[in-house]
Amino acid sequence: MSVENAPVVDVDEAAIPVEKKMYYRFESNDKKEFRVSELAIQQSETLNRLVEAMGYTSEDVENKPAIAIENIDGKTLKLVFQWCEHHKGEAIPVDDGSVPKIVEIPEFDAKLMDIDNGLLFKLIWAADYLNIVQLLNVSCKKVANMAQGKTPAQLRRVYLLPSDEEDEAAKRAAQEAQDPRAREVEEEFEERKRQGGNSFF
Amino acid sequence: MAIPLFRLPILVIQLILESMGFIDIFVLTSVSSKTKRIFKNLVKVKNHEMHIVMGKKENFFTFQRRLNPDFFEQFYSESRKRHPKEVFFMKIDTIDQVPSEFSPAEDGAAALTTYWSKNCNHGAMLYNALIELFELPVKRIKMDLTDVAVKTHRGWINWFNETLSDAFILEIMGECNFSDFVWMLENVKTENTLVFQIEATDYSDTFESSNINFTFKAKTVAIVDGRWIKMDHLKSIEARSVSLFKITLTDFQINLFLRDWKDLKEAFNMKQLIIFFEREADPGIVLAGMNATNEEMMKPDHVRNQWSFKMANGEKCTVTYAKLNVDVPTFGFEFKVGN
Repeated sequence: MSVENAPVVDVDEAAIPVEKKMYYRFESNDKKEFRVSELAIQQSETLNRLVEAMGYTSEDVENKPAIAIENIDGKTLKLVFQWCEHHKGEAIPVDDGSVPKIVEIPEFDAKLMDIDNGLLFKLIWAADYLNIVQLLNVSCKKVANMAQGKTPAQLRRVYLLPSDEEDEAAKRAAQEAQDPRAREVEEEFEERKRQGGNSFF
Repeated sequence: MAIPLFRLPILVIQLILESMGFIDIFVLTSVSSKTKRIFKNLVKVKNHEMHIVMGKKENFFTFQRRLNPDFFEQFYSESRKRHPKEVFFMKIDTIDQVPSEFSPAEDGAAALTTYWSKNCNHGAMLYNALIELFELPVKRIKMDLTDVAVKTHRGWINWFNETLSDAFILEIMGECNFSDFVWMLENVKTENTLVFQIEATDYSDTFESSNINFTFKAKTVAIVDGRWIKMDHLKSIEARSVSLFKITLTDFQINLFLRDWKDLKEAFNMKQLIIFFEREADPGIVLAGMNATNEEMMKPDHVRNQWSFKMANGEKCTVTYAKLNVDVPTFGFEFKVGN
């Protein structure tokens, strides 16, 4: 099943069979609204607790403002809810404790995550914030897979990893920014040593 | 655009690192000290074990999932004057620029090959780097002595004694002359299982072996070439389970050993003794004077006869006599104390 044909994020009530299912309305930080089924919400521990605490009825959902998710944008939230709708009703996976973990990425998830790394980065943040265990597992696995067959130089570029020298330089810069006098004192000390002084004072 | 790994939440970084394979982690942590430090602080390998194979051409380290051996990855260390053109360089242990390449193993598992100068004990160096990073138990070490110089394999044994004597199984195989064979018997120190599969190429019956002085304290010992074994050697093995093949003791000598063993009142560590020889035995001589009871009706299908006798300490010893299905006619006894 392609992402385009995935279960709708903005739930169409006509598509809901016989018994009327509960759904909720959410709003992203760029004011995009989503209607998401109650079953799909259960994939997110954070949202599930939130809606339980709010105790909304169907009427409340229609009459009250959509629940705001202030730190996730619409593009990312759309992916999140598409994932939740596709996997609704599935059990939250239990970790068997093995490390390294074996995580399989299902075909639907692989297509959903066929996105640029900037969006993938936001998706991971969202999955972590909303506590969607399996979405976090597969998105982290996708990032982990980027390391396969890469040399140290390539890994530096893929994960933006500084070298020891760069880390050291950044540390020095941070120290200087915190206390510019410290560097001046250090330089003065070095200068006195060069001039043969055996005491700083 | 890249994924800035260290700008993700710490638990997410942990999950990503835990989802990577051993080889990817090994290469990743060579990028910088910080990367290695973060991995070591966040990740603890669980439910995996290491198997080591040492040989003339290469050493390799297999990382295997405990409950599912189909999931494994391999690290090779090879000694070569030249390495392939398409390599990358990594800092491993104390060496800054070790030529390395990703190489799919024959069975399709992921593999990383590292190329080292002939002048260093590269197996030990790669092992140090792997164990420092992953801290996982060593299950099995196999040393293949075929065409390996004496100096090299003695170095392996010394390294094993210093570093790995608590590994679950040490298996030494291949060929060497009898003097090296004896050196290894006298020097190897293992706590768990020792499988001594070496063939002494120049052994002859005229060799004097009674002065061989070894003190195995392993739980289990198997010696495939046991032609040199005398009565006193049998008594000096302190293992709980002992299997000896090709032994040349006579039926009378085995009987004498059994009588001494049976009469021991104090606790004796050996609870299972398996001996095989390239001849048929006479169970009547072997069990003479043991007051053995015939247990013909209770014997398993794969053995010819079964008896039992009572040890001086009251325990039951079950004896079976069987023929092995191998090229050379081979017969043997198993003596098992307890139920």
